[in-house]
Formats: sequence, C-alpha cells, structure tokens
Amino acid sequence: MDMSAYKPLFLSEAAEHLDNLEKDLLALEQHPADAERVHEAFRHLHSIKGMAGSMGYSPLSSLAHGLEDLLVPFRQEKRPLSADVVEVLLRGLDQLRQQLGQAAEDRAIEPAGEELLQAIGRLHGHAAPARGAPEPKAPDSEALRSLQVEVEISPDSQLPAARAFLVYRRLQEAGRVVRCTPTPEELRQGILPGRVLRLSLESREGLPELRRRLDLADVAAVRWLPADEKPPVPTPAPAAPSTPNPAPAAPTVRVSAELLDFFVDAVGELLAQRSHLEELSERLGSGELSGSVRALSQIVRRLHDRVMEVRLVPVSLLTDRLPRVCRDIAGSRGKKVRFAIEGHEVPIDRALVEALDTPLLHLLRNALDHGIEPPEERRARGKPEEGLLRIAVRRRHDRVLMEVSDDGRGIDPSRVLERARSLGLVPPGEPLEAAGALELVFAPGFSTREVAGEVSGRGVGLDVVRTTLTRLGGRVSVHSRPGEGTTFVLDLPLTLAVLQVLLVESAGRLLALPASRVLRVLPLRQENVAVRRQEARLGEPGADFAFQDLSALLRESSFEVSREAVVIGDGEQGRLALGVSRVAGHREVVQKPPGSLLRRAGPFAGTTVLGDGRPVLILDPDQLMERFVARGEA
Amino acid sequence: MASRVMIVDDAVFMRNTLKEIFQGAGYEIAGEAANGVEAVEKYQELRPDLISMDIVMPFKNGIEATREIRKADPRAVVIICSALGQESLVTEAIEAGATDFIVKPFRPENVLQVVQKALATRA
Repeated sequence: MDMSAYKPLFLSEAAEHLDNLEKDLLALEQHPADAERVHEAFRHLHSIKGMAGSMGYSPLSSLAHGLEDLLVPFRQEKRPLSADVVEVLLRGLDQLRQQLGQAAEDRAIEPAGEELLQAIGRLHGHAAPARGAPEPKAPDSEALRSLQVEVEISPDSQLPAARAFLVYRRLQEAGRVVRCTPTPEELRQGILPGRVLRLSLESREGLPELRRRLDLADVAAVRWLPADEKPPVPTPAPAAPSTPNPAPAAPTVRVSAELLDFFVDAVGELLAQRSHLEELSERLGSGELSGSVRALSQIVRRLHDRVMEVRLVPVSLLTDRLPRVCRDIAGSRGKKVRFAIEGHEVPIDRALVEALDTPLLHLLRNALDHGIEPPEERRARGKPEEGLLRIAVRRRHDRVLMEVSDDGRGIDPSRVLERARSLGLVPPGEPLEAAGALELVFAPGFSTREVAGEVSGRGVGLDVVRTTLTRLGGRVSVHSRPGEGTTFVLDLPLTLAVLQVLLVESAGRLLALPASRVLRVLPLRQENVAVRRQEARLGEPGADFAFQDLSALLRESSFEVSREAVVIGDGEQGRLALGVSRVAGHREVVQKPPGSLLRRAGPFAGTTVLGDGRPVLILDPDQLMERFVARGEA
Repeated sequence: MASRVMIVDDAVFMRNTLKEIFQGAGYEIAGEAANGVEAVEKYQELRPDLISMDIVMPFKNGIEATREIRKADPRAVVIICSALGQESLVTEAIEAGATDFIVKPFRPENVLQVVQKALATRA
C-alpha cells in the first residue's frame, strides 16, 4: 500500500506524541514514582514506534523501540524512574524530533547518534534484563489486543457516513469498540468530516480476519496501528499542577490551517458586506428588504462566532514546550526553578500562538537570567532555593490576560532610571515616579545585554515584546517589587482577524479607529476648547482632555471645521480628544496588517476594505498619542 | 453454481432495473417481492443467497423485514437499497442486521461490487 498519503497525518500525530512524551518526562523528573506517567510515556513511544514502522521509517522506529525498552523494567516493577534514564529519554526525544523533521522534508532519516546509542546501551546493561520487551508479541489468537483503526471512505461513496457506520458495526462484531470518532450517533446523522473514521478496538481476532471484515466496497484505505494494552482513556487528574495533562479530547478532525484562514477571511468579507447591505436597506427604507437583511445579519453573526471558535486553540499549544526550555536554561545557569502554568486550556487565537512565541520566550529568558537568583543568593535572602516561574493565563470577556511572573530579585526602579539616563533615554534631572521608571524597560534601546552577557544572545530587548503586543492589538505592562519578584502582564484580544472600528471623517478622508480604544465621542463646540499652558484642552462637564485636530496630527491641511471629538486612550494612561469632521459610523472590519511602507507613512495599524469597496486606513492610537506628545515637546 | 438473488421493492421499475443488473452479471433471480410482508414469507420459501431490500415499502418496511429475516436466519445476506441522504434509515437497517447497502440511482459496477463482497462474507 502506498503510505505517502498518510504522511501528513503521521507527522502531526507523531509530533503530538512527542510533545506529550516530553510533558510526561518532565513530570517524571519531578515525580519519578508516578507509575501512570511511566505508562503514558511508554505508550507514546510505543505508538511512535508502530506508526514509524508502518510508514517504513525504520531509523525512527528503531530508536523509539530502544527508548521504549528503557521503560520496560520500570513499568513492570513500578519502580521510580531514575534521573539518568529521564536524561537519556529526553535526549532520545530530541533525536526523534530531528528524525521527524527529516521525514517531513523527505530527507533520508539518519539513525540515532552513536553517543546516544551507547548511553541507551549502558542503561540497558544495568536497568534490568530487557528481555521480554513487549515488542514482537506474536499475534496470539487468544490474546486480547488493542488496535487503533483508521478507515478512509472513498470519495465515490454516496453515503459515506453510513458506509463508516457499517465499518463500525463490522468491527463491533469482532470485539469491543472502545472509541469511535465521529461517534456512531454522529454517523447516523450523516456526519463524517474528511471521510475518515477512527476507532479504538479491543479484539482477539488476528489482523487477517479483521482485514476480511473490512473488505467492503467504498472503503478506500484502512490503517491498523498498534495501541497499548490499555485503551486510551482520558488521563486522570494531573499529578502536579505544573504539568497538567491534556484535557480529554472531544471527537475532532484535522483541517488544514489554510482552509481555516479561508473561512475566516470569507466570513470577514461577509461581515463587511452585511454592513453595506444594512446601510443600503436603511437608505431604501423597504420593510421587506430590511427584514431579510436583518435575518441574514443574524446568520452571518452566528457563522462568524462559530468560525472564530474554530480558530481558537488552547494556549497549551504555545506553552507546552516552555517547561523544557525553562529546564534547559535554568540548568545551564545553575539555577533551580519550578515552572508552573495555570490556565493552559484557555482558548486563544491560532495566530497568537505563533506571534507570541518569541515574546514569551524572551520574558522567560529574562526571568531566568535576571529575575531568579542563584540558589546560594536565594538561601542568603531567606528564600527557598528553588525559584518559581509562573505563567497564568485567563480570559476576560474578549481579552486574554497572560501573566509571566517570577519570585526573583525584582526590578529596582532607581537602577532602571540610572541606566536609562546613562543611555540618554531620559533627560538628566527629570524626575520620574517608580511606575514610570519601570516602563522604561520597554524603551527601544534599553537593552539589558550588558547584564545579560551570554544570555539573550539574540539581543532581543523588551521593546520587541511591546512592539509585538502592540501590533497584535494588545498591551504589555510590568509590575515589580524589589526583592520579591516581577510580573509581566500581556493583555491580548481573543481574536485577531475582526476588529471593531469607529469610522471618522477628517480632512475629507475616511479613517478608522479601533473601537476598543475609543473612550467617548463628544459633540465639539469650539467655545469649549481652551488653550492652557500652550496646549489645547477640551473642557467637558466632569472631564478635561488634551485636544488636537486629527488632521493636524496627520499633518494634513483641512478647511473643514471639526464638529465632533473622539476621545481615545488606554483607560488609565494618556487620553486625547481628537477633533474630526464627523463620526461616520461603527463597523466590524477585517484588519489587514500594514506593510512597511504604510508604517513609515504615518501612525497606522493597518488597512481594511469596507463593504462598498472603499479602502480605509486604520489608525494606531498609541502612535497618535506618541505623536501628540512629541509635538508638544518640539 | 450461480448465486440466487431475491429482489424486494414496491416499484416495478426498480425491480426491473436490478433484475437487469443481476442477470447481466450471471446471477439467478430466485424471486421478487413488493413489500416487507411478502419478503419475509418468500424468504422462508425460496432461501435465496442474497436479498436486495428497499427501505420504504407498504405494510412492512425493509428495516422491519430485514430484522425478521435475520432473526429467522442469522446467515441471511441482506443488501439495503437506499436513496441519497437516508443515512439514518440506512444505519438503522445496518443495526437490524443488513450486510451492506447500495444507493439509488444504482451504478451497476457499484451494485455488483457490494453484492460480490457480501456473498464472500457468507462463504
């Protein structure tokens, strides 16, 4: 059988097994006696071995086999796993990852390195007689075996779900079907995404008999994978909060990211068209039309919500590899660190996973290098030798808050200020309160490289973290108490693609402002604008804002009188009232990121196209405020 | 020896279509029935190797007939004839013991493939 069609599936499943294996191994390092974890780790290696074998990737399969054997004695005797075994397994894991990469790129798969093989051999020597390893398990017709079966229904099939149901029934006759995805109930309703059925089966029948049972019309391919003796049931409660088990998976299908992006884009365009239709029907005033448009709007809204849900992935996709990174960095720095993740199940936009990778890694490095003290120093300060690095994620309405905190030495505002002064980032003599001084760590050029030395290597400063967050429509702030620790708070939108904007007209041009940053819209009466301390202020009952015409801020000449003021701000931070000719409405738009040309052209966060085809620039409130401040200083 | 097939359908047109397909492939037509009640009776009498069974029929539907036939003869091979979009009926028929199914409008090569494989399970 030609297996190449299964390669993408193999790659993604094997990678998943490796990720879970890594989690298990790191947990075992902390709790070596966790028999359940040993079993899980074994199961992952066993699956990889089987899958790689059936794909014909023998170097991969044989390394997985070797590693799997290392676990056998511990598994059988329920002994605690020794540290050297964990170490070798982790090294083996890295090599498996490399091999998987080679497979992905269609390169020849290199066998495991000599050094690793020797280490495995040494461990075998004294681990236990590894004879009787479970591998060759002759197909004993008496023995109850667990199998994973994957069945692809032919595109020619006229009732694919019913066909899959028949497969399910046939296997049910052969033994016990432990799990079936989609569920039989879903099959009854005609649901079979991707025309693929996945089953876990316990049966005493041999493969030839089972194959015969599935000799059916319209069954395009059947793949048999060994499973462990134990059916994959949802894993029990996590042994330690620091390394939680993945949540029990609901029936899922794999869909290409490209397809998802298409859905999101298409739904975004639908939203834009919807707005346009609403406008039209309002203008035409036809009751029949507007009723229909309203109904359509609701459907589009529901569709949008569901499609956005599909884009959401658990934050664990982002954080899963961090425990390992943390362990390795801490180890190389001679520091002892416990890593904890809370809220790994919180959903975030898939696009955020990629975008946040570098910033998060930077914050982690930062905490390990500058935050958490070496064990001796911690002891001297009366702290536990083991430092704590914690990532806590939670959802608040349509935002995601991510906290990266350590219990290290904290940031001393006076030292930050001193350094900022020496770098010329702050004019000498200017007083700054502590919070303001802490903010300076995000300033471009405030590199910590001097202290970091070998550390950050790449020289990524915290300014990059802030820039990234801003680009994503988020914010980052820092809180710290000297001697006690530092917390970085990342505040992000739940989804990226659709943005609520306020349309404004300024100097005859239509512009958009992210609605989340608009605090108020006020009618503008020129008599309320006063000049105080060379700065225009807009006085309103109970409020007083710095004021500036938007056109002036964009360095455009305008002959139109501003009739409305849009107050933008950050809640607590700066507020600025922008004078505009008029507010033209509220829209949901699909934001397209700005090109470098646009970035240089002005304070823009991106572009969008309205339902009627008009392109509109989206303003970046932060850059507007910066520009305003800079003007005042000039 | 040619396998013997019994055709159950309330529409004469469908019975004739299937008859042509089966005879064209060398099968012997053991008999025909126009509803579920007749199907159960004739099965006992004719003991064909295979039955093609429509689902929606008067008096007794194909699912009920399949259940009764399989109860009387667990080795009976019943092929359900379904229309497109009848997943829930087909799955119900499978649960009642149907061996496999074919979908209208029939494609001869598909019908014959299903029949052949179904007969092989009995061998």
